[in-house]
Amino acid sequence: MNSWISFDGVSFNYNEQSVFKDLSFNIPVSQGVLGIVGKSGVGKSTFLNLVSGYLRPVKGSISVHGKKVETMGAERPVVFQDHNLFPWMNLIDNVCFGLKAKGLRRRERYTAVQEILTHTGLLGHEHKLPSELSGGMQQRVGFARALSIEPDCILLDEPFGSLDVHTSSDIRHYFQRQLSEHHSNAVLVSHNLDEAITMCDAILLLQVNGKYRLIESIEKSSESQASQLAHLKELIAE
Amino acid sequence: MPRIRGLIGILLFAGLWQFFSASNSLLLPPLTDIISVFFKSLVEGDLLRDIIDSTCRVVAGVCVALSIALPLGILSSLWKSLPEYCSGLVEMIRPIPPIAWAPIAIIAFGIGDAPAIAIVALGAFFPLWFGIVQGLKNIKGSHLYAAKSLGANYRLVFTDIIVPSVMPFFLHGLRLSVGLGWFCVVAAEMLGASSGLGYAVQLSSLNLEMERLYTYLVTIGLTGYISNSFLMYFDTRYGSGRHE
Repeated sequence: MNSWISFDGVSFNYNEQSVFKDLSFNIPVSQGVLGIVGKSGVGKSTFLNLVSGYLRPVKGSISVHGKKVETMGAERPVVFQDHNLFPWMNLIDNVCFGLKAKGLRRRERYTAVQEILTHTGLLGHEHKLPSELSGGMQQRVGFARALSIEPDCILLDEPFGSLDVHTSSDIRHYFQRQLSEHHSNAVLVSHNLDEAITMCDAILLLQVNGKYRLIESIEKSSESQASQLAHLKELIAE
Repeated sequence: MPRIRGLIGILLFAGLWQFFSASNSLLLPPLTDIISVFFKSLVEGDLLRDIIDSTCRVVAGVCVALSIALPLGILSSLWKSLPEYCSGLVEMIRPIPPIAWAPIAIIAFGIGDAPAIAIVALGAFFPLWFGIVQGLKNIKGSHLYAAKSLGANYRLVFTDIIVPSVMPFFLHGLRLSVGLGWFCVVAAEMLGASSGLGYAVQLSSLNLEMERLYTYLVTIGLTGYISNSFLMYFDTRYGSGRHE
């Protein structure tokens, strides 16, 4: 089976306490978005930090698109919950940062991001600083910044939490369209189970003491989703 | 409005000065006399020459301090423990007033511009160094994380993340450095120079030329004010103003 992300016996400790113990799974290419859910403190963000390459497992290995994760890189950009924009750069320079890292010249960068800026509703605000933008716009910049480099895999750390319902829905649809157009994958960390069920094709439920449950396939019909949501809630409550 | 209030404050002070100068004209010579000496020195060129000499020494001293503090700062961004290794020595030297080094500076560099520049450099170094160290401490890990996850190499991280993060602290340090540079240059010129604002203050006090003394004191204040305003512009444009 051809998988895009695989964990092979991954263990990770934090302050000598085990966060993950022998975590192993494979997600097939057909399951484009992997959701990570669980109670607070079970290691959702740690999971993302391991996939990004920011943290290294004490044991085992992680592969994304067949390549072992060893360092951070543009193959797996992160969209953060708190936007994490560079406050000294204007909007367009924030969006273009990944392209600058790729070595594109200023004019090439600006031309390359015009479409993303249009789709994310950021056109006309290019020269504003992050402090001059609303929270929703800042989050759209965060998405545009990650999408601009057209990565194979995007890591999302609760990116919709700070958005209003309307903006969140708009960005979600745009984001899903982008993923399918570019055949990209994503790891979505979320505390919102509805969001996870709607957006993800597979869900990894993290539990205390390094335990986990993998729901390998999320049905997309509304009745199935309701029952899957109920099942997920039960599992979390266990 | 704050500027108008500031101007009113200066005018009130000038009025009080003029009033009290009638009772003790040696200690407080009439403002009209001071203004007259100011314009006379300006026309004759003495004042302008002294301003230029002192400014050159401050600029040279701050440049020397920058040429030491900046490479140390760049090294510190690579080797995080460097500021800790330097802290003991820095904390021991910092409390010594820069002017206390004057005899050593004169023995080392002789008479002329060099000792004054060395004293300015010593005084200007510490605010710059502390600004850079503080700036390095305030680099957000989350910004480095974001940059690296977008594929930035060390050069890009340095130019686009580290430098802008440190910039507000560096510019604040630079403002303090230039201010301290003016303190130091006046003191250094009073001890061992043959030109400059400090030298003129010393000469005027020895000759009991009070109008000339006050003319130079006001000039020192004005030059400091102008250089601070100049640096404030950069601070607002490239420093804290971009980090809100």
